[in-house]
Amino acid sequence: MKRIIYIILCVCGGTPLFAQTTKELQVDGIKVIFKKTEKSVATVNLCIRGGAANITEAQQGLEPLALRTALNGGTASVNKDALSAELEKLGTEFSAGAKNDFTFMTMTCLRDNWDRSWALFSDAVLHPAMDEGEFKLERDRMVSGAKQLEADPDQYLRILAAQQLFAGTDYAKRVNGVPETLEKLTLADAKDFYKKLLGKQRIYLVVVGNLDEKDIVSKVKSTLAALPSGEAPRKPTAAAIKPGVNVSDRQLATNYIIGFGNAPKYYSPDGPLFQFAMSILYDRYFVELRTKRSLSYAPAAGYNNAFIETPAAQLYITTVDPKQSLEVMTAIINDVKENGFKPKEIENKKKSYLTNYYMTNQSSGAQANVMSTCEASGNWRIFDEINTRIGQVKTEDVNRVFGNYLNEVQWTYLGNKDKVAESDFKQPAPAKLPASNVKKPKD
Amino acid sequence: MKKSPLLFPLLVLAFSASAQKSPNKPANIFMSKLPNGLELLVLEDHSVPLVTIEMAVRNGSYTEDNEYNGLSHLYEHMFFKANKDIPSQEKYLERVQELGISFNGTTSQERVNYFFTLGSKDLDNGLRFMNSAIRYPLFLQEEMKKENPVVDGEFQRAESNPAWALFDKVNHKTWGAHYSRKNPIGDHDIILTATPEKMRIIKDKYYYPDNSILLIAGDVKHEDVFRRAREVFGDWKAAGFDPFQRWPIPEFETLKGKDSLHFVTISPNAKVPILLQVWHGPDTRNDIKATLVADVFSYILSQKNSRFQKNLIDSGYALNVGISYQTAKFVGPIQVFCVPNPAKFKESFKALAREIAQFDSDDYFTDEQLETSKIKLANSEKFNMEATTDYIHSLSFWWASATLDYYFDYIAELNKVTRKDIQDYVRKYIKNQPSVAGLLLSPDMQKEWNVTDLDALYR
Repeated sequence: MKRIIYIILCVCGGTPLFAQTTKELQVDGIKVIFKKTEKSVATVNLCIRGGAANITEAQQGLEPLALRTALNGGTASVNKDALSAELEKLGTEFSAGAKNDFTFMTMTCLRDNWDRSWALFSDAVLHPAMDEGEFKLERDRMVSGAKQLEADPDQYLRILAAQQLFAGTDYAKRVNGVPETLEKLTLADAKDFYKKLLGKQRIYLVVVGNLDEKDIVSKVKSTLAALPSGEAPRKPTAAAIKPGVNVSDRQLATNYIIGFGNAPKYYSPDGPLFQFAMSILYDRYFVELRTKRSLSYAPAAGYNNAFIETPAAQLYITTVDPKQSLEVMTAIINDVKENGFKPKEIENKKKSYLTNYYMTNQSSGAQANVMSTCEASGNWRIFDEINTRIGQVKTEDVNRVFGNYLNEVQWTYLGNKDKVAESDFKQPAPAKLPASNVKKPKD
Repeated sequence: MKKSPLLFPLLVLAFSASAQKSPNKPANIFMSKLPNGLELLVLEDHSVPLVTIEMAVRNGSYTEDNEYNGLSHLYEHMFFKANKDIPSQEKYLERVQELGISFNGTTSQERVNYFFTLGSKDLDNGLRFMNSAIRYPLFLQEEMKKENPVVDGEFQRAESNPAWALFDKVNHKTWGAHYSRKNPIGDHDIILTATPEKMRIIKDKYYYPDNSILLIAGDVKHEDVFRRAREVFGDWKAAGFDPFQRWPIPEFETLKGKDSLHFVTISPNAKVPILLQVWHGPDTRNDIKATLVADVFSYILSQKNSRFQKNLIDSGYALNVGISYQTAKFVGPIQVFCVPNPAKFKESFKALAREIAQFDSDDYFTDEQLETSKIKLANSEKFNMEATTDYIHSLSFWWASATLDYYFDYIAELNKVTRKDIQDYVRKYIKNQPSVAGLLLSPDMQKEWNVTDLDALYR
C-alpha cells in the first residue's frame, strides 16, 4: 500500500500557526524571504527567475550545468578538493537544479555550522572557479541522466506530454537538457551564461532555519549585495491546453497515461480552490479506479504547478486496461460536474490538508522548496495565506472552479499501442453547474 | 484517597522496564513494554501539532518460501481494508478522510510497517483505528479478489523500468534457492491466486504483540501515550512462542563458482549501461562489528576526494559509482553500482577491478577520510531526525534488522572503527570473495561494444 499523495503544494485550514514566523526583507536590492524555525537544520535556496525563458533550444541544460559547475568546482580561493573535503566534514551540502520557471542553488547545513557554511556557499556563488574538470564531469553525468529519464516510463511520459502541450513555446524546452544539446555545450558557454545570469533583479533568497534575522541581513550585505542589478527576468512563453491525444508505442509490463486540463494560476483567487478540488478528485479516483474496480495501483489526480504560466489539472494512471480506465476517469469528472462534491468531502479534505501542511513544516528543505515555488508563482505569502483561504472554502466555490476549468484534456499515452484507439481518450462534458445554483447532493 | 492494593503491582506489570539500556538513547525517546510483549517507543517532538502512529512487525519476504512469495506485501495491503470495526475499504477510506489521516505501509525483507499521521488531538482515535486494523482484519474474499490485481499492478510498474531485469537477475543469482526471502514484491502467480486462508496463516504466525513494536511520535507526552496504549492494546493476546524458532529462516548458501554468477542482460528500453556487483556481506546476528565497519567503509568511498571516486569518476571511467551495504539480520548485501562512461566503456571494468583489488591496501584512504566518514554518518543521523514522521521509520527498521540499542549506540560504535577493521572487513567479505555481477545493455550497445562475456571485460 502506498500513501495517498496529493500532488499539491501545502495547504491547510485552521490556525495560521506559522504565519508570524516568515518575513520578507529587502537587503540592498535583494529580496530575502526568511522563515525562522526551531530545528537544527538550515536551508538556503538562492532562486533565479526565468527557467525555460533563460535559454535557447541549443542551450537546453546549460543553466543547471553552469550552476553545478559553479557550486562544486571550487572557488578563486579554495580549490575543488579542499572545498569538497571541508563540506563533507561540516555535513554541508550544495546542490543546484532547474525547474521550468526558475533555477536554484541550495545549501543545507546544520545550524551549528551555519557561519562557515554560508561563507563557503556565498564564495562559491560569487567567485566560482568554473573548473574544467568539474564541468566535463557534470556534463557527462547530465547526458547520462537525460538518457536515463527516457528509459524510465514515468519520466518519459511527462517529457512527451510537455513537448506535445507546449510545442513552439519556451516550455517545450527541457531545462535539464537533452543528450544532443548537452554534448555540445562548452565551459566557455557555461562561464559566459553564469556571468550574465546572476543579478539582483532576477534572484531571491529563501532562508529557513533557527537563525537570526540580523545575522542574515549582515551576511547578505557583505556577500550577495555585491551582485550587479542585471537584466530583468522574463517569464517563459506558454500555450493554453487544447484537447488532443498522443500515443507512443513501447512494450512495457503496464501502460502509462497522463492527461492535462486547464487550471487557474496558483496566485489567482481560484488557484488554491482548484488545487483543493483536484485533491478531492484524487480521492474519488483512488476509490473508483483502484478500490472498486482494481484497474490500477496508481491512479492519481492533482494540480500540477510545474509550468507556472500554464498550470494544469493532471490526471494519471498506469493500467493494463487503458480503455476502461479512460472511460471511468472521464466519467468521474463528469459526475462531479453533474452533482458536485459533497459538503462532507470538503470538510474532511480541510482536515487532511492540515495534516499535510504540518508534515511539510517539519523540515527546512521542504519549507524552503514550497516557499520558493510560491514566490515564483506570484508571492511567497501564498504559503501562509493558504491557511485562511482553505479554512474559508465553501462547497459551491469548489464546484464552481472545478466545472469552469476542467473542460478539455490533452492525453499522452506510453505503452502497447494496440490496446487503445484514439476514440478511447474521452473529453469531459462541458460544465453543468452554474456558479449560483449548486445542486446539493444527498450525503 | 485510599489506594487500591492491587494498583501498584498492576502498574509494575504494565510498564515493565524496557530491554533497551543504552545510555546513548536520545533524551526525547521513551521506551516501555506491555505485559503481552508489545514494545512501545514514544518520540516527543512538539514542533508541529501532529502525531504519527506506526506499528512494525517482524514479517516480510524473509519469512516467505516460494509458495508465499509476495504475500507479506499483499497482507500489508489488506491491512487497509475491512476489519471488525470497519466493514469495507470504502468505509476505511472514509474514516481516513474524517480524521485527516496521511497513511502508508511498506514491506521489505525483514519488516512490515503501517503508519498514520494525523492531528495530535486525535491520538486516541488513531490508536483505536490502528488497533482495529492490526488485530482484526477480515480478509474478505471479495476485497482480496479486487486487491490481487492492484498489488500485481505495483509489480508491473517496477518491471516497466529496464533496470528491473538487471536487479531481478542479480537477486536470483545472489540468493539462489532462497531468492524469495529477499524478494518482497513476490511472484505474479502467487499474488494473483492468493486466498484469505493464506492471509490468516500469515497472521497466525507473525501478527502478535510480542513480535511487534508500536512507535508513536509527535506532539504527545510519553506517560500519556503509555497509558493509552495499554488501554487499547493491553488485551492483545501474546503468541507465547517465537515464530523464528518455530519456522526458522533458512541460511543462504555461500556464493559458489564465478563464471556462472556474471552475466550480461539486454533490454530494448535501456539507454545507458548499468553494472551491479553484489557480495554477501555481514549481518547483525553473526558479525555486528563488520556491519558497522561496512558503513564506515562505504562512506569513505562516497567522498569526492576518495581514491575510489578520483580513480573512477575524475579519471573518466565511470559517470556514477558507489558502494553500499544494507544492514540485515540475514546476510546484508554489499553492492557496487556503476554507470560506465561510454567513452571508456571497456577500460572501465578493468579500472573498477583495480580499485577493488586495492581496497585493503594500507594507503587506500587517509586518516582524515576515515574520520570524515564517521562525521558524515553522525551528521546524516542529525538530518534524519529533522522530520519526525519519517524518522520513526528508521527506528523501526533498526528494531527489525538489528536492535534499538544497536541503533542508539551506532555512532559511538562507529567511532571505534580502525583502519585494520576495514582491511579485515574487505578481506573477509569483498576482496577475492565470490560475487554476482550483471551488466545491463541495449541491443545497440551490445552490438557497438561487442559484449557477450562480462568476465572478459574485467580481465
